[in-house]
Amino acid sequence: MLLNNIVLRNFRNYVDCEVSFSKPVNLIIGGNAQGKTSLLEAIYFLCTAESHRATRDGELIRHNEAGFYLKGTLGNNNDDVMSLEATKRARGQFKLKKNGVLQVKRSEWIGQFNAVLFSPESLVLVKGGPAERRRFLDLLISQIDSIYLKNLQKYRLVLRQRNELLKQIRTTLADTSQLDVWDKLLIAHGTAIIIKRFEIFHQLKAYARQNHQQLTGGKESIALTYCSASVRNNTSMHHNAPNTSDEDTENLADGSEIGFFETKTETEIETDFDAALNASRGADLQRGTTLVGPHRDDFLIELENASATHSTDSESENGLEVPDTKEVEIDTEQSESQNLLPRSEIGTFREGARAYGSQGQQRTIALALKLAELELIRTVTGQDPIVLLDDVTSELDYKRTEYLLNVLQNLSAQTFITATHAEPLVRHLNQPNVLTVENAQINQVSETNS
Amino acid sequence: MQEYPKPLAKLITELQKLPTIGQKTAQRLAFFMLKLPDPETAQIAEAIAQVKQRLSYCDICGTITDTNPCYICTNPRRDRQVICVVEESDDLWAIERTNGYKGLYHVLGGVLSPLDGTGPDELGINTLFQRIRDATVNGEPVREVILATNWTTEGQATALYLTQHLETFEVAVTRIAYGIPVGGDLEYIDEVTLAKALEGRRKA
Repeated sequence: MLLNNIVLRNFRNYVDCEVSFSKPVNLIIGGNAQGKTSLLEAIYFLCTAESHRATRDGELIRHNEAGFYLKGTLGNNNDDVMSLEATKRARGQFKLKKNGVLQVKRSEWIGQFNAVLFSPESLVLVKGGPAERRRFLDLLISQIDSIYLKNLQKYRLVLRQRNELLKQIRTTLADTSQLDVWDKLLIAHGTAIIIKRFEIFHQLKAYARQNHQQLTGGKESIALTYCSASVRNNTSMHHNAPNTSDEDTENLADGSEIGFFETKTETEIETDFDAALNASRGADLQRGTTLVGPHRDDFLIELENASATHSTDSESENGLEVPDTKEVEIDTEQSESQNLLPRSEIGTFREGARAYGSQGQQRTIALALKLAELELIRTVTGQDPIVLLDDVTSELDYKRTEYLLNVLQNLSAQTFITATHAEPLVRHLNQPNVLTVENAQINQVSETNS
Repeated sequence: MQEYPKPLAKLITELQKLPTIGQKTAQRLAFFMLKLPDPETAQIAEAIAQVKQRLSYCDICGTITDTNPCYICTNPRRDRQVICVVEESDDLWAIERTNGYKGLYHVLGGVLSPLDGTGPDELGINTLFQRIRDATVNGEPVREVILATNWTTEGQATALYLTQHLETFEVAVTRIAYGIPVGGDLEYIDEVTLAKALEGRRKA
């Protein structure tokens, strides 16, 4: 499906704007604060029913207006046409309409057409906390598997009920046998989530590694490891050590190349999750919140090349985990698989290790993850997602931008790229449709002028 | 601006307390009632008044009834060894309409939901256990308990809770099946329901 046309009314700085996209590659040129990113945001919103940067939905509504309206018209070569509309009133829920019919559930909305967005905010994938990476995985999987999002929504409801019950038990000594019931439901929905995450993550990490190697000209490579406190890791025994601080992933990963989880069966995951919940019950009751489960999982990103920039300094200064301390945590008799890698040379990006590694390295990793997302969606759905690139030239150096554009050239994906200047992007793009954005007005520029 | 005469304004305000009735609908209903002949408005008013005065909850099963115990609990032709557990009285009437169930009921009056502050003590759970114990003492032991709570997260939690606690009783505990509705077209059924229906398939 290609986005043929979009209408924006009272969305961000747009008053009333309609644009058609006649070509697959669209280059959107404009100065700062003119509305380039908002245009991409609108496209992304029609795809996911959420914004990639707004923390409150109200931010999306133009100042002093009652609500916004978005409409996208999509089509393919077979003349199938789909219209998607999203409206939001200042005090009210979103209304989503497909072909004029009101859609109630977000789970039925997501996945109608898919989009991959790379923007300056994508850096949080590497720099941000575990919640950012979970969000990335959850949205990615939701786009390609409709049952996943339903399970996730159920899981979150059960989690809220369980957390509330934990607090009630703590204060009023309510009946703990009720907890068993919510545990069972948490395990049922949680296991479904974990299985799907394992399956997708397994593919994601291979694609990410490949892309990263190519982006760095083979000089660096990354290893991704899924970290779960609820599934027993056969190579290190941390499954029953619940996190002691929110949004923290310490003690979770073994960092090995071979993921421990790929061989796990559904029953094993269920048993592990059950054991982890039981082990953590005391701590859960004390804290009044559930400390293990897929809602606490994360994935670890490690750079395998120990270049001078990230070997020891910044990490040890901050008192963060260095490879040495990590070795201690690994159960020696089960650490065979670790020997596959030169452990002492492995540096890690961690939530607390933001200072560590250069901004450029982190950006490259974020891009590798996004490209992996793109490939994964293509492979699973058999369709090219819409690619949204926000201000990439300011984010990436010339070599990486060139690589990125080359990758996109080889896809038939519809692409929207924003930049402050047409050069040098326009030379690398195949007959782009050039649009200018000025003060929330979008104009088509004839190609010869570009 | 001249406002409505006081009695009319009051009726409109009162009607708005009903679910799904907003300002406009309340006005329409009020003006409709004004045009009705006197005996009819009196009947409506009386029906509303009586519904609270004459109905109570059955001491045995907890359903809404005008006799206590209710008609079902006192009906000698009902199978006293089977109890069907439902969330609310309207679920009971839904099952009654099937005409296929001849046992007794137990109305919980809600579901377990910590977020709403509903625990086992707020529901008719203890009375259910007591009922089963009493039945054994009275020489009419309960053979089967059918859990017919809704297939929502909370309904499931409640069913699991009951299953767990009924283990200590000598009764068979069953859960109503869910899946494809009769006359349902596979194409239009959501994936989760279809997956569950496949899981719960039976020998043809």
